[in-house]
Amino acid sequence: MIFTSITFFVFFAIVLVLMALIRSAKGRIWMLLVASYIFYGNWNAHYVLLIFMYGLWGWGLGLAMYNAPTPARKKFYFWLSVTLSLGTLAFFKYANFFGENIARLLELRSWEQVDVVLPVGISFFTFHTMSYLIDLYRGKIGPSRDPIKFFLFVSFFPQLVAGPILRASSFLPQLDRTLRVTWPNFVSGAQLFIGGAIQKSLFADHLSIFVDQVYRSPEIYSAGTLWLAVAAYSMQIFCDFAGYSLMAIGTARILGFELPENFRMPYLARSVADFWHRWHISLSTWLRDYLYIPLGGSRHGPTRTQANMFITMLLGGLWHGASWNFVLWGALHGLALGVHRAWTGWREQRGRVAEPAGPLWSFVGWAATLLFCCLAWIPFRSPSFETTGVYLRGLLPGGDGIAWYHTPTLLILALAVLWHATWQFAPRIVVRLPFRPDELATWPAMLTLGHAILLLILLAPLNTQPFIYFQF
Amino acid sequence: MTEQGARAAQAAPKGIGRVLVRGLLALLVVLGSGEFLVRVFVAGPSPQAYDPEIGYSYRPDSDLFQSKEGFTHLHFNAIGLNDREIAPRDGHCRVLVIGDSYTAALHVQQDLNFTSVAERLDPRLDVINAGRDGLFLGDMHKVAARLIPGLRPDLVIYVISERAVDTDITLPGFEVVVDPRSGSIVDAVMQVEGQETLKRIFGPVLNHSALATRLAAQFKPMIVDAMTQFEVWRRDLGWTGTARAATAVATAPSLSDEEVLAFVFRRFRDQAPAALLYVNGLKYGPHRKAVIAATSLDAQAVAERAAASAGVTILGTGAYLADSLARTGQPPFGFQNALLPGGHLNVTGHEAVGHALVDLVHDMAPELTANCRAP
Repeated sequence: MIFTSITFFVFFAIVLVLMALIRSAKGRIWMLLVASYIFYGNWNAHYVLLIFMYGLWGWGLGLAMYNAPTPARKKFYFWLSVTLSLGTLAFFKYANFFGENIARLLELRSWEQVDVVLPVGISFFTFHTMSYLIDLYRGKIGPSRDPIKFFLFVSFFPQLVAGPILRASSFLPQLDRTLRVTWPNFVSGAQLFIGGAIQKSLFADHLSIFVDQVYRSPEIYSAGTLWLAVAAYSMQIFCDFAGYSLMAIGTARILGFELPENFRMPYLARSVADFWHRWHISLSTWLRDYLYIPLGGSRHGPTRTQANMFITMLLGGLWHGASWNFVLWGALHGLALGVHRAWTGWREQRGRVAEPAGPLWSFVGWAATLLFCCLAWIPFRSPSFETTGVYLRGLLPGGDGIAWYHTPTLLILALAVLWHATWQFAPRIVVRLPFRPDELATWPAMLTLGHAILLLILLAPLNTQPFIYFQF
Repeated sequence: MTEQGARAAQAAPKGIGRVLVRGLLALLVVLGSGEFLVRVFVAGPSPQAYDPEIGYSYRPDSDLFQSKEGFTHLHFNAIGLNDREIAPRDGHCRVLVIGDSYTAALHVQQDLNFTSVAERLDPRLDVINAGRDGLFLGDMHKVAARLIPGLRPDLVIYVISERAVDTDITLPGFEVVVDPRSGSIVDAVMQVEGQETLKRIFGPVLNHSALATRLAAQFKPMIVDAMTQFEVWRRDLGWTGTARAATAVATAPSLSDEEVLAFVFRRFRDQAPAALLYVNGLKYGPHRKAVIAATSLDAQAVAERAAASAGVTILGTGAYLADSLARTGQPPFGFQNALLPGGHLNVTGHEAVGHALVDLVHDMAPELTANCRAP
């Protein structure tokens, strides 16, 4: 079920009516759980069992681990739960990838493909479950004794298929207070939803028309067109994913939940490290807390730190999909983070500030980061290594391909530049949104929201594109 | 209360009545600016009128603005064709061209479409563009039957493409009626789709409001889905009338595509001297090179065999289009504001197809063109 579909609006309207009709807190939690399973089952009814199993072993093994009489038993339950979570993820997502590569490495006969449909959002609900189990093992949180609440944590529909990645420590306590739909939350959540829908339907979906065509056969286009597609895809993936996150946050807020912020204008970052503080924040913090730090973090000297960072980014890349292209994307970011860390360390050793201030440095840092991040998206988007190679060669000047400067793409990119410039130079305009309930009857609110809804209805592409991050 | 909150509270109307009035006024402003923005940037009001035979046709003396593919302002003439007004016959060879969106050419200016190009290349020709976007193969003979008596063309050229061969004759609305005794086809016709009847109801609004036209286009898939679902329920619950079932003598699923096409082409030939122009799709390679796409070539082969069986001349445009790309470096399909090099014929493509059209006319009727009057 896609947020921007009529099916979702009908579904969500029913959920809101039920929230109003059901008076007991427990009843509402039950209803949200059933609604979440229906939301997921609308895509594939069979895999509702899978998400239920995640909830079951997360809750059951979590309790068993908490109540374990000995540390060894506790460790056993912990590793069992990690093995189950990662093993399931590996089976569905990576079996063919690893099988093919191992077969090629050992020069065995060709790998017989495992015929399995990748469950939508499996990477996300695997990480939800694992964050709970790891925090519980570390003693940072207590166990969830109510299975229904835990099942809802794993499967909560607004963020089920593409995040933000939830932490039990922030979500489960929200289920202990009275759940209700309030007017301020509704107003604010609905506006966030509209903002996300604009990013997704007006920006990302229109950009995809150009991007998909160029990436399908980059060899036929001119260098200018390929550079335009690099910029377009960078904006598309941001608007697509940030749009989904905003809609998820808005939907959850209407229901009375607060989800973590997932994006903070990443293309305004002045370094790669800064980019990762702004891009897919719930994933980068997850990787930091549950992978980088357990690997040793920065506690064992510069070389080990660099290695840990690189491994974290490599696995972060692989998390996105079973393809060497994603691994390459992760490796590029790992290397860039390493270079940035070495450079800031080198400056600090000489008694200077790690990141130089001043408009020129800021501009150079921003431009270099933006260029790097945009170029790194090429392997991420390309369907194969070969396409990546063709694409990169095509970026060099001197080609004689077809020059296509898609007018809607140019217009959207111009709007995106304006949006980022407003955020950077006139943040006071941005912080006025969303409108408060008491502002709704004012002319600015009525006209802004009226035009936003009209534009969405008029210009959203006829064939709704699925969100890019659904595949992860 | 914060200063900002106090300001907002002050700005808010005091009574519910004032809020409603303000909301209504805001709605009117939004709709008004929506109409303005759509007219200026997206498309004008619909020029389509419900037509019980072919679903819809263009309203006589109407205008079209569109920026979906290319950017065009067009005027439909007094008989609803994307052409200048039809002059009385004056010794020019009159060629009537019937086809779908490739022929309707709503994406290029009128004087640049391939019928105009053909007139420019051979001034002895008077080429009339009777294309309509989305016209099905099974509807083309109806357009011909309607126009031939009045226009009295020397030749009718039907422009077809892969879609006509692969898709049109397999659509659920395409009915092939077979004489059960002889086993031969007696009719092959496209039924008007149910969705087109909506144009009869909403036509007056759509013909005057760009905003309504755009909204209708946005919601059409949803409405069509709902109507299709309703039709399924109606059939499942046995509400369907019996009139239509009685007219279909028998359908013969064993008929090959080629046989059906041959029947359609034969009917073209029986109405007036006819020929077929096949618009090929291209597959592009590096360095602005292209070859005819394999699927297009396959469909062309089927069409050629059917045309041979029906005794109708057919000419493929693939070589013209590929040559045009090699010569000009510009792809013949696509627009900067839509797909490139996909989508409809652009100015370069129309130029190439115009050449093909002239060659087809010359090949088809050398004695006819020899007698045509030069200007």
